[in-house]
Amino acid sequence: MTPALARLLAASDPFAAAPAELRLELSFVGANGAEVPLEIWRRGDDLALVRFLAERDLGKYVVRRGKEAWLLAPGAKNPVRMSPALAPAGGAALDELLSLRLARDYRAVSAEESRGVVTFELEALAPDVEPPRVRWAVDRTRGLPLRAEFRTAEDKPRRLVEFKSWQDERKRVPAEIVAKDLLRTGSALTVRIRALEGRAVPQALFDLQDASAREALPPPPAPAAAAPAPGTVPSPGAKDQRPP
Amino acid sequence: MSPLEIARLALRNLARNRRRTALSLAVVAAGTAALVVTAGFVRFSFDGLREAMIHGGLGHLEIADAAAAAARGAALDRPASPALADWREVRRALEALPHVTAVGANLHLMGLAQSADGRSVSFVGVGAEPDRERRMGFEVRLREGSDLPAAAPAPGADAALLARGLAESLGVRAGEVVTLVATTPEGTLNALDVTVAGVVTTGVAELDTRFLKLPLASAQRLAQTDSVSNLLVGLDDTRATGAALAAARAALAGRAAPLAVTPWSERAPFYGQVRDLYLGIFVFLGTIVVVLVVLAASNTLVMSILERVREIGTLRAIGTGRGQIAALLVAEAAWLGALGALAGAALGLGAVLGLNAAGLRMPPPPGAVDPIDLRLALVPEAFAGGALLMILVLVLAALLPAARAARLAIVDALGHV
Repeated sequence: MTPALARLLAASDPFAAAPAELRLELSFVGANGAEVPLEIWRRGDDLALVRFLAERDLGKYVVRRGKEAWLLAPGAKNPVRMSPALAPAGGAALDELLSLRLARDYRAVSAEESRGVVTFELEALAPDVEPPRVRWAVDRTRGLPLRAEFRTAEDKPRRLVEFKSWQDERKRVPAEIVAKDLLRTGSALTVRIRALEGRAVPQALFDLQDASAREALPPPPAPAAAAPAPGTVPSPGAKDQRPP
Repeated sequence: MSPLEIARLALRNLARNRRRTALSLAVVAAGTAALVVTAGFVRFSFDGLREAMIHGGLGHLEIADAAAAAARGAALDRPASPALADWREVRRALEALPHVTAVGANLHLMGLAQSADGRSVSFVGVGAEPDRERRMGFEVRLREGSDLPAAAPAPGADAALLARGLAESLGVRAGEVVTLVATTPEGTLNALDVTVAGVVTTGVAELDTRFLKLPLASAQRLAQTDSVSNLLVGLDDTRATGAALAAARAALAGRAAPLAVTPWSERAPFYGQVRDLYLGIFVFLGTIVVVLVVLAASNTLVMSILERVREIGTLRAIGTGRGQIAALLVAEAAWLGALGALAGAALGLGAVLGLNAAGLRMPPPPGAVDPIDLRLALVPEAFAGGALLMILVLVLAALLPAARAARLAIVDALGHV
């Protein structure tokens, strides 16, 4: 790979300038057409909290600590450990993108250019890096990523992410991505990123037993209180009901 | 000779050689009885399977959103999406129809069930209304614990019935708590704690490893929806399915969001397959029985004519016509068929009643869990059809020998040794 291509790859890292601790506000269009607003609170690469903001979802969270994730729901007394297969496609895709450090964690096995698009075949430098392989397509002229295919260690496609528009091209913050889980038969999911702000994120947010920090989070922003889809009802209990 | 005289003479001829007649009657009677018993077994199997499927969860009719039902396509085991939002109004309209005992709403779910010790098993579940299911005659095969309560549970008091294979995989018993995780219509996840009210069997070994049932209200809490997947209509008589289907379609016609009304038979391809298989077996066995009866009867009739060549020559010599000779022999065969069928019907009736009284049990059919009671049905059509078939078969078997007998030359017949 030429130095120019290496520079192109390094510069195409999405969220490269994102702070280590941040709050991301986003939404995706659910399978039934209803908009599902979310917040992602991240503290480094190892801790992430997905907070569901719709009225029907209040009190529902996904906590990721390292490679393990738990679902916290008002109807369940204890956190429910989630297998990777259960990870919500949109949130998981974005979380994966936020964790991606192309220049640091991957080496380019090959690069091919066709009609102004350079496609890199990337391989993780360490066995614990997720995903183990990435096919990364970059617009050569603008230096922006177009498409990412996350692949398994056996080089089977696992998830496809397409970058549709950008909120901040310079900082590589996308405005809209389309994620498709290739291991499941679900349709493509459109994820819209509404805001990204760097802010201090307390460690207590990720405590599985003590819900007080999560309960103390500011109320959902107004636009997030989207009207529920026809036939939907709120979760029982509008507050986080983790046991003390 | 008048037909009545021919019939009377034919009966007297049969009485002349009682041993030969008794042998022919035994063959015909055994054939008729075999048909009656086989028909009873087939009818019992069809009826039992049909009612087991209807009252095991299919209902007589299914009402679902037409688009959702079309998307479901041929894969009937895939859960329907919760697309029926105004199901309460639809139900009101349906429950006013004749023959309808109740209309139950179902919400289908798929997800993961987790026990307190962390065991996790995928499930297919259905949210149902126990009170209405009872009115529809749905059966719950409880193995442990108790059935779901009739009233919708309050939040936090959710309960479920687990199929025994699923309960075993999770290592839980009645009274313990499992957490269900399922996807909502938007595609997000939700979780709900449910207490295991009871352990059941679906009757199907494979389904027992994954199935659970919970009250509709609990299923809706888990899926975060007020909609349902479908409505199941129960009728007071399965024979009213056609009329109820037409009435339901008429009652639901003209809606903005069209509904698909599907009879149970279209949702049970397995029933159709079993029916076709059994009918094939029945036709095969019936053909063998008929062939055996034809061969045995033909042999008896031919022997009877060979023994009576001189008698036939004498009859011809005193002026009996060829047609009358043939008619006499055919009438003898018809009597044999009628009397044999009568005896066979009595024998078949006795066999059906005797086997039913014996309380025999059959091993579980492939894929099923429980052995089944052997109960043979009394099929009036089989009695009437069997009798007619035997008379017809005997008459057909007699045609050729009768024609040969009628063609005998008088001199040759009188000199026959």
